[in-house]
Amino acid sequence: MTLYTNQPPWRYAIFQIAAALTGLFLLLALLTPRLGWFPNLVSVQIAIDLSGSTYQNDSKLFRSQGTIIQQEIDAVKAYVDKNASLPKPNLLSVSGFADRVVPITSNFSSNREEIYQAIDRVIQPSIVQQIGGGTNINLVVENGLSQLKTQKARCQQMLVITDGVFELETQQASEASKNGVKLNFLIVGQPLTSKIDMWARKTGGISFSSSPNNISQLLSGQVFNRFNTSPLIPIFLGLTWMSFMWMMLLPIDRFFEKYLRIRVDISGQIALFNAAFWTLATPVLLLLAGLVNPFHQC
Amino acid sequence: MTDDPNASWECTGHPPGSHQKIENYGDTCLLCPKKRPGLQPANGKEGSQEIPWRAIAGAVLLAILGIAAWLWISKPHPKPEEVAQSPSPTTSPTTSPTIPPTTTPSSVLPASAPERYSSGERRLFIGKPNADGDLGTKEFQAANYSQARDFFEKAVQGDRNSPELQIYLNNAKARLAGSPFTLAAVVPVDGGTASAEEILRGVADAQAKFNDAGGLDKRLLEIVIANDGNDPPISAGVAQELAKNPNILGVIGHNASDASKAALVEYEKAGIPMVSPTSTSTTLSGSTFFRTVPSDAVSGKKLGNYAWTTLRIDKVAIFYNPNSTYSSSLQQAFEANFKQAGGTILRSIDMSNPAFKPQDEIKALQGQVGAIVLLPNTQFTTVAIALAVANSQQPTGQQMKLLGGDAVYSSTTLTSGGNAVEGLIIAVPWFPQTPYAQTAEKRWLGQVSWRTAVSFDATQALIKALSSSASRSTVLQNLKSINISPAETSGAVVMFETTGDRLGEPILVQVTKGSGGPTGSPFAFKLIQ
Repeated sequence: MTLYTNQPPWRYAIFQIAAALTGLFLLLALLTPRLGWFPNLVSVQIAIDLSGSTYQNDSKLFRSQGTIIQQEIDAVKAYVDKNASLPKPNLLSVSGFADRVVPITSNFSSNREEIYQAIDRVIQPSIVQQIGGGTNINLVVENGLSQLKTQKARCQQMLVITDGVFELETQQASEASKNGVKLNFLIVGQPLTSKIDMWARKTGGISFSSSPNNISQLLSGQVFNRFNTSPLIPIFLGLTWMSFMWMMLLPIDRFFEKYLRIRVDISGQIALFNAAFWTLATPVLLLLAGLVNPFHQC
Repeated sequence: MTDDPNASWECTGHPPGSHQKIENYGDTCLLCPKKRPGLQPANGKEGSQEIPWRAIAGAVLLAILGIAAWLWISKPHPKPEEVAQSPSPTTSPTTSPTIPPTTTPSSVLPASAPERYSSGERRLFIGKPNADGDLGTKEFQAANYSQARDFFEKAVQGDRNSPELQIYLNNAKARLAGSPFTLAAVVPVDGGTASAEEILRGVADAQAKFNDAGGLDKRLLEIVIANDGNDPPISAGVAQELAKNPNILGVIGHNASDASKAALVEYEKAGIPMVSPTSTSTTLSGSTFFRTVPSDAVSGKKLGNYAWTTLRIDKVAIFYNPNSTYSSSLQQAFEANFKQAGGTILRSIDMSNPAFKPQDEIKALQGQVGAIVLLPNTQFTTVAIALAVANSQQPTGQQMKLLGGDAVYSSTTLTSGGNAVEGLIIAVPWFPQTPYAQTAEKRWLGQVSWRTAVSFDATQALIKALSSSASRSTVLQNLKSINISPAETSGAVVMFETTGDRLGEPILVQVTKGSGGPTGSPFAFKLIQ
């Protein structure tokens, strides 16, 4: 009996194994965020801008409804609420800042009540004289980095919520990057500058611009999801792509042979090269895109 | 079979019959190394050009899976105890941010004890009662800064010599103005009260100058006074406590070199710039370390060169305390420079030895050396004076010349040493013949010491490094390029080398008979170089 090689691709083991792996990795990539598999252990240092502009420089309006300061506080509380629903909640530390920094929570905690009470106890009108009315980002980032040094075993995120225009010392961003701390900026009522975006991206963080009314939604939506995305999802997607390319080995070979009339051994080599190329290129692309970092845990 | 290179061909194996018949399209059989009939191998050796694609592909796949597995395994999986909440070093914002949490008092106060720190909440120099000062501290604690200011003003009028009360007054004004810049001054209130006050006078002078000029952006300067007792373990603990306060932008201190060395480790971790006004040891260096006093290296060099070139002495004996970082560092610097110039060190003698007898040591050196070099730390200055006295009791003409380090640059040396210390030459960082000396003398109702002067310079350096958005890192960066003119310092330019040492040289003074010394002493220090 003659063994013919032009049987349908799905009859071959290489196709079947690769297809099974493609399905498995795709399933893992899709289900991981939904079912909370392989969660990140995250510590977040949240810095709330308490400068004069957040209450229109009128101490009578301090924490009045509709002011930026109150929107910021409500947004942080919304994040705390959502955090409490996680199987492994983020550990949160909150500080306020203007010219000076004022610690709001006394340690990293995921206790909703504790954080709520600390916010309401500390952010009182009397704090204004203590911390001034400016926006000293350098001091608050420095303090955040110092606080996060105690959280080395976890993903370290720093979130600065501010309505101010500021200049961050390049050294601070470098220090954050060196220590694996991601700087994230939520700019309220101001356009996002390219510098702010650059400082965030340099550390692997994100930056947003938001209207005051939208802070809560953004914080408990995009920001929360970003902080709590499993680092394995990009890896699963990468593996899906690689398996898929191996699954396509024979179909590509046949395509070149049948439709482009390329000699069968050449078409086979092209198909094999394609699969091998993506197998090597996918991890490299993931690394270059910053989606996978073997040197940082998140 | 055909000669058409694109046509299919059949193979039954190599040797024939070794596998089933298979139809091939390429140049090589899919199941064995056999080539298409009529095709010549490039080197004439059948099968030698075969590329093991399957092996390569398999290896690549394995490598990729290996990398993926490694990525997964290398991801740190925290242990349960690491995941648990870890305490964060923060302070209560509703009270003074400078007060660490209360701890159980003990016979020796731990570094975290609130009693070691004050911006105005408590008196640290408890040996000087002052009713208005006490009332001021109560109001300060209650955040009634206006009343506190009034009480401290009265307290200062009642004790114009107290830098502590002056600093508290300035602090109350700073809190009233709102969101002050904060620096810490670490001094040995325990066991070194006089030195501590001398240092704080310089700090208070610079603070008052800055605040009275309106500060920066209407923000004034607050000084947190911390007491480390010059005890290295406590100094390290104090440094940790200060690092916890995010608003402390820099530290003036510490006093003794051993204390500074212990604390510097903590300041480097926290990125806090530290400007020591009095620590001279050559062992001190670091990325956040600066000093306004000349290091022992330059002092030893100055003294050694003077002994060799001006006094023309070729052989000396050194008295020092090997257990003191300051003393041994100065001894090493002097010895190295004096030997390099061509001189000889007959002996370096441990003056801290319990069996040490000044009379015996002086007798033993009689006729062998031209000078004795007194390099005690502050604990052993009395032994140094005893050596001078023993030397003065030798027959005239056999007495040795005296050289000394800055630890003996004090009025006590003049009053206790008397005639015995006449002629003593000391390398010192400052001499009170500057406009600052005159201003300070009026303010403090008496001549100020070199410690006051270099502490003024240290505080001035930190003040000049402040900016609207000051943080520890901006202050640190600014300090590196600071350049303060003599008009704004105690008398000399303040600039730092890359090592953190102050640019410049110490000066030499000599004990001579004349006016200008402490009350009751016919002797005074005279500038000689």
